[in-house]
Amino acid sequence: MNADSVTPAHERSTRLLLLATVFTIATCGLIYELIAGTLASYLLGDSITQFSTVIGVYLFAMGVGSWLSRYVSRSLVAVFVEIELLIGLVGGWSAALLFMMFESADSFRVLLYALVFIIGTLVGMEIPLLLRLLKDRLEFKDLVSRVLSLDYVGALLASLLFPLVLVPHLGLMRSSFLFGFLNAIVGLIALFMLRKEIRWWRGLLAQALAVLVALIAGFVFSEKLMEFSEHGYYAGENVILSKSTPYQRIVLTRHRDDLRLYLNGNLQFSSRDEYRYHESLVHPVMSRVNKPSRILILGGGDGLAMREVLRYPEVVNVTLVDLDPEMTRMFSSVPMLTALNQNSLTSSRAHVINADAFTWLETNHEKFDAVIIDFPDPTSFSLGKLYTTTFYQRLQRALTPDALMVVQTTSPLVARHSYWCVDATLRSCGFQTVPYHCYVPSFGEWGFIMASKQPMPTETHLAPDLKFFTNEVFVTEQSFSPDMSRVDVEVNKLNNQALVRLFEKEWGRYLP
Amino acid sequence: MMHRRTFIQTGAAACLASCAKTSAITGSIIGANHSAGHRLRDMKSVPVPVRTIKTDVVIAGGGISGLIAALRLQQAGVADITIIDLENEPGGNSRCSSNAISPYPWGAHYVPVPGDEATEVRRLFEELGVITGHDAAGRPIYEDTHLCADQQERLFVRGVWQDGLGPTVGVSSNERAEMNRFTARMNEMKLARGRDGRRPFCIPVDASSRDAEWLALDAMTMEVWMEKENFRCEPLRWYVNYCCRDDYGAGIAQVSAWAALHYFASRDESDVLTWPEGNGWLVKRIMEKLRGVKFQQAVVYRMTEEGGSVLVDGLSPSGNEAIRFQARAAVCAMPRFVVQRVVADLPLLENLHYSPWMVANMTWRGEPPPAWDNVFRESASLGYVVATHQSLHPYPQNSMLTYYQPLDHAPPPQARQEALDKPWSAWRDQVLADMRPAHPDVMERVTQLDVMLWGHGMIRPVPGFISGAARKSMAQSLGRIAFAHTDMSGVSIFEEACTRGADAARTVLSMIGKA
Repeated sequence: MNADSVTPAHERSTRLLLLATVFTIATCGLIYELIAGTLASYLLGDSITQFSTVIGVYLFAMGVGSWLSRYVSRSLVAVFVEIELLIGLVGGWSAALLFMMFESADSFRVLLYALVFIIGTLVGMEIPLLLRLLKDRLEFKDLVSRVLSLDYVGALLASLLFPLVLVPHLGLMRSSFLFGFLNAIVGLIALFMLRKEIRWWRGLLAQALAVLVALIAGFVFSEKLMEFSEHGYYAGENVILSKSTPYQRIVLTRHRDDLRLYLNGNLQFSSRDEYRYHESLVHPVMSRVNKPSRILILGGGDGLAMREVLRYPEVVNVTLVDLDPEMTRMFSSVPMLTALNQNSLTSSRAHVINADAFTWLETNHEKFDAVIIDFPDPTSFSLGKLYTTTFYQRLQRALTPDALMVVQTTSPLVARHSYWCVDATLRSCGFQTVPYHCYVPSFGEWGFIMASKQPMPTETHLAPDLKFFTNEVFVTEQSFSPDMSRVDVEVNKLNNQALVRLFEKEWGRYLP
Repeated sequence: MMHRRTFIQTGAAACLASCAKTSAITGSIIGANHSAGHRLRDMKSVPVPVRTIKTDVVIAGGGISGLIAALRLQQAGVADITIIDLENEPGGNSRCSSNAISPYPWGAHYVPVPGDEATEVRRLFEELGVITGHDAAGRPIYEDTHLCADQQERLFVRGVWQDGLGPTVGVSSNERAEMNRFTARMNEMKLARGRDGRRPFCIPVDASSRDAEWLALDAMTMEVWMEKENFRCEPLRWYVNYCCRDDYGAGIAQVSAWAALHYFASRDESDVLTWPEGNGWLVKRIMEKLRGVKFQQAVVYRMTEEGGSVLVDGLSPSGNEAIRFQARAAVCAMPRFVVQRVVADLPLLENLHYSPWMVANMTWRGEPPPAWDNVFRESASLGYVVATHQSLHPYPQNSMLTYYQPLDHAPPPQARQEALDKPWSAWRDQVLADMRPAHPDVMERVTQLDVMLWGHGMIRPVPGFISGAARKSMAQSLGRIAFAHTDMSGVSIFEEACTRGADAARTVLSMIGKA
């Protein structure tokens, strides 16, 4: 090009740099949009709606920004630098802010669209301002073709980087900080190159450094921010207690009068409706056992099943085997929790053992009249072993000849095959089974299986004053609608882990 | 520019951090007593035994063959048995170690569920409680905690883990069809019978058909056979090569087609039995049964027959003292390359090749990998197995990973020498680098890494070996010395060792008039 040869070197590099700036900001702009869209689909679900609205608002805001750019008449360079720094700051922190707002869907939406609109407006101003900065440095046809093509190529780079590199390797929060940082660097470089055109460039430099520090800090501490914001992930309640034990992460939340327990992110109970679950878990067995004197609870460290068992005065001793000492300690000592389980774990009839059930069964010589199994769902190969033929065969040694037992068995509606797999497994070990289910609002439709070696007793002696469970209710609980009725499934064994594979497939449909 | 400086600084910091982490990993090269073995090779003058120990039967070699021979002899009423081994504990390739986390294997780590012909293995498993009973059809029922738990095997390929070892990720439909054709072919061979009515590939090996048509497969390498049969696609070649290296320590270009096909077509069931310490668990159970049998650590340097008894001379572990064991009969259960230097009047056999191996045990902090056998597609190793895989704990915490690599990149003598010359730190870096693509956090997870070298890990069934005369001659007893070793089968597997040990015991019983 002819013009190049006569242009001074300094001017040429300024022009190149400004074009490089177009490329960088185009990439950054799309990244923020993608981050917002992704986070919105994480929390609000329905990714089509989320992406579509985020893109719409973003493009609209860009239009607003472009229009607003006409009102910038003086100190063009200074305004451009300011905008870069602002986008860097807001865009860089956008993911972190959104993560922290995760706990409440309503305020999340407000923040989401506010951020998208602000970033969109600022990004919308960038290109018109850049065009104006470049207009004296390039011919119009070159200007338009170069700026727009770089803008689109930058967008392509962003759309490839985002799913292939950024999300898998850096995560959303750090990606956002990184691109905020790049944006701010663009501002800083522009500031240096064009500082002769800015009167108060030192003030801007201070601003730029402050923004860069804020972004680097965010990047470095994003792990901590993540931890902090994860609390909110457990729905819209305040986290009142969270503890990591060698086995699990225990989180307690409270929202008005509703107390909830999460283990590794999975809801264990909501104080509003847990009575439905625990009464259905315990009373079918307890009301049928002839003389329920020695009872075994496996899992159930929250003491809620224990509370139901202790309603029967004939019970002499309840042994509860739960792996995690922290669980049983909390539910024996924290007032809010002992109020819920009515101090069941510290009852003189309760005997709490912290051990894993398999190992404990090896050493146990006692026989029990009833066994209540309240293990976590089979979410891993290791947990799946607690639902195998091997486990039920070992358990038999701890049963009196006419003992009854019950197994909490995930949702027969969500995980129909998983539910009937447990049933098939129990039957293959020589148990007769009575499958039943009940509706627990916070869980949905939930399943249980009662099992015994002898024919199931028909006579019942139900504890008085229950809130939910009656013999009439139990009749309805045993009826399965066609969408959750029995299916033929493989037996769950150590060497096939059929249950874990089914469970993963069935619950996987409900996860993003 | 600021960018570049930041980049360089970050890079330097990362390197420093990773170097610091590597040096935090402890370990050493342990076991496999080659220096003691080499003393035998390099011995200039033959020492004179200073004392004589009398015993009924001497068993030279405490691997599975020797232990089974001892067990069967003891059960037949032989009162005084002495087992002599180079190492300070029995087990041979099935040896194991143990630490606060778990017992873990140093070599053989599983036994496939034995078929109907593997009667010696079935018998042993019944005695050890591995087989707990039989179903209505008479099929054995296995103790389910010994059957390898699901997830059994997985393959790391193109950045993801796939279930099972037969490649599925990135495999085209043509390749899949070829792999299915291979599987179908193997299933045909399982059902085929030679003109003598026997299975072409059987465990034990010597129960296989002697039909010349099938034996002809021993004349070529597996690679040649695959070419001939038009099995050429890369995923299949990788898989077959992997399996050969896993069982024989050498790939399809080295092992005979007969041996490779034996691996695929000799077993009807796919389940395997495994224990935290691998086959070391079986060694421990056998040793419990062998109470009363003496175990002596010594380097056997001479076995001769004299006046109706067998004299076995060995050097004490310190190398200072020579001891003579005088017995009515002996089982020589050492590998042939040793045996032909020790037993008088044995010819030196040709075509004897042994695969060298490197095994590393890593102490793994945190939740162990979910599968038992974990294999990397783009690697010279065979991957690793997880010692705590059979644990029934719902939240397993730490584990031991046992990593296997046959050293088949060079002819065995050269590979052996290279391995001996290589320092521990080089092995450490090699193993960690191999682990890193699949486990980017390997530096934070591994706290200790120990290495064991198996110079002569196992017999290599090169073309001509299994069908050859040399192998046949190895099984013939010599006076009052009976032989037992998987070298005599050409296939180094637990089942063959059981058969060889039991056969030798029967031979010895007839020698001493107890049959």
